[in-house]
Amino acid sequence: MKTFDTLVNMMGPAPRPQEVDDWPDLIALARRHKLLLPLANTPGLPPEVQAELSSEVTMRSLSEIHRAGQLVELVKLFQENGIEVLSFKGLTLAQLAHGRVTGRECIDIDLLVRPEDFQRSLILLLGFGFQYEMENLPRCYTKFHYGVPLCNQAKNLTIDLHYQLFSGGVHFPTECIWEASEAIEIQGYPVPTFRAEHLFVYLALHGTKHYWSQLRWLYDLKALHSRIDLAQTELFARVQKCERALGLALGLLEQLWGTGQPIEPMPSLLGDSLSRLKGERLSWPQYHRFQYQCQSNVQQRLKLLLYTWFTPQIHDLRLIDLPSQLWFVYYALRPARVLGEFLLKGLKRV
Amino acid sequence: MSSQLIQRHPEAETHPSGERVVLFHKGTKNSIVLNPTGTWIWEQLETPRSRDWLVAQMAERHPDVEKERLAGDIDSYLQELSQNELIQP
Repeated sequence: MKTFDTLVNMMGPAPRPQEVDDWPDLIALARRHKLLLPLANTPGLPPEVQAELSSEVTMRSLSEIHRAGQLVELVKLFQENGIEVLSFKGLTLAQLAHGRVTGRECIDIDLLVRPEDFQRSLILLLGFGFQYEMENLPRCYTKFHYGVPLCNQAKNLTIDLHYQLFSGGVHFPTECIWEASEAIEIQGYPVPTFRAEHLFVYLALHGTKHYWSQLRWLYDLKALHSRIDLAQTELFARVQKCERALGLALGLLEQLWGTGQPIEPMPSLLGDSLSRLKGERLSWPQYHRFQYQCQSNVQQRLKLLLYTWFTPQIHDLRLIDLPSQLWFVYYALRPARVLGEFLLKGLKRV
Repeated sequence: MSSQLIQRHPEAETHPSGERVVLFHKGTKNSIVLNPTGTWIWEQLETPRSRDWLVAQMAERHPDVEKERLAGDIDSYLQELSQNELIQP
């Protein structure tokens, strides 16, 4: 078996560690896909492999337990300050899908607050010792971006604070998610998070946005798949207008682990995603074509197109620091900069 | 005393980490890492067991080791688990 197929098998319902012929390669791939914790817990690993992974996975487990404690403290901080907050992905996903916070490797803590609470939340976290993770963050960054990464070096903790779940180019309103939010117990404390069906759809869209570059995301969806009501999930995807992203995620699960879902006829999207999962690098035009094809209707494709061309990104915002009255100018700056880069590249070739 | 059943504390969380297990107590917020032998003992305590039962099982696994030594090892593990409030009668 090729290493990728071996890793897929090891993450599946009937792992066959006896068939692994290159453990160093498999461990390296699991590390790249952030699947070392589940790999180490696969039954039947040879003792020498267990011994090799032992220290690293123990450290990772301790780190996730520590992070979970910090998540609980943060949720309490928000609640004490009268700010509603939802934790999503990361630790709450680990608890919900895998039954424990060490079920998956996390990187940061993702928090969603209501748009009207965003500035207050930011001030609260800055006062709590967090600072912007990106240096020289333009003042208008959060006007154009749906969240901001913050870090606390003393606590060795990074938070992604969001007021929306996706950029303006992707239709994904959060009202339904807030209304149906639930709490999951982490370290004995009820942490508010998404309902499982909503989380599944969100993760399908999130994986699509990142072109399914990590097997870990599908491993999470596989675990979550047994805990959702599929009819409710499909209904929510229709409401959110992201049926294609959900169909793609279900198709990938079926291809990798045979979850028994019918595959929608989207062979090119499935093929592209599988190539990306296997580590193939894709060009900028390929990436954008994939994103457009994953949109469920023409309006959304148009919205994404407009967003891609006109909504300023960090590089555009860093070009010039405009006063807030002139922030609309960034919308013109973006296409000018992108076109300028194309022209320069063309001239260099000539 | 040694035939008294011992069980996991309801506040104890189990985090399998390869050949080891990390235990976390939700009340005290303390974590401890068990080595493979400690992990084996913890796995046995998924259902309430006595100290004697654990010693007998361990002796079956390691027939070449003196039973007194195994009993001493098990007592040490149980003491550590008890001190961390991870097990209870």
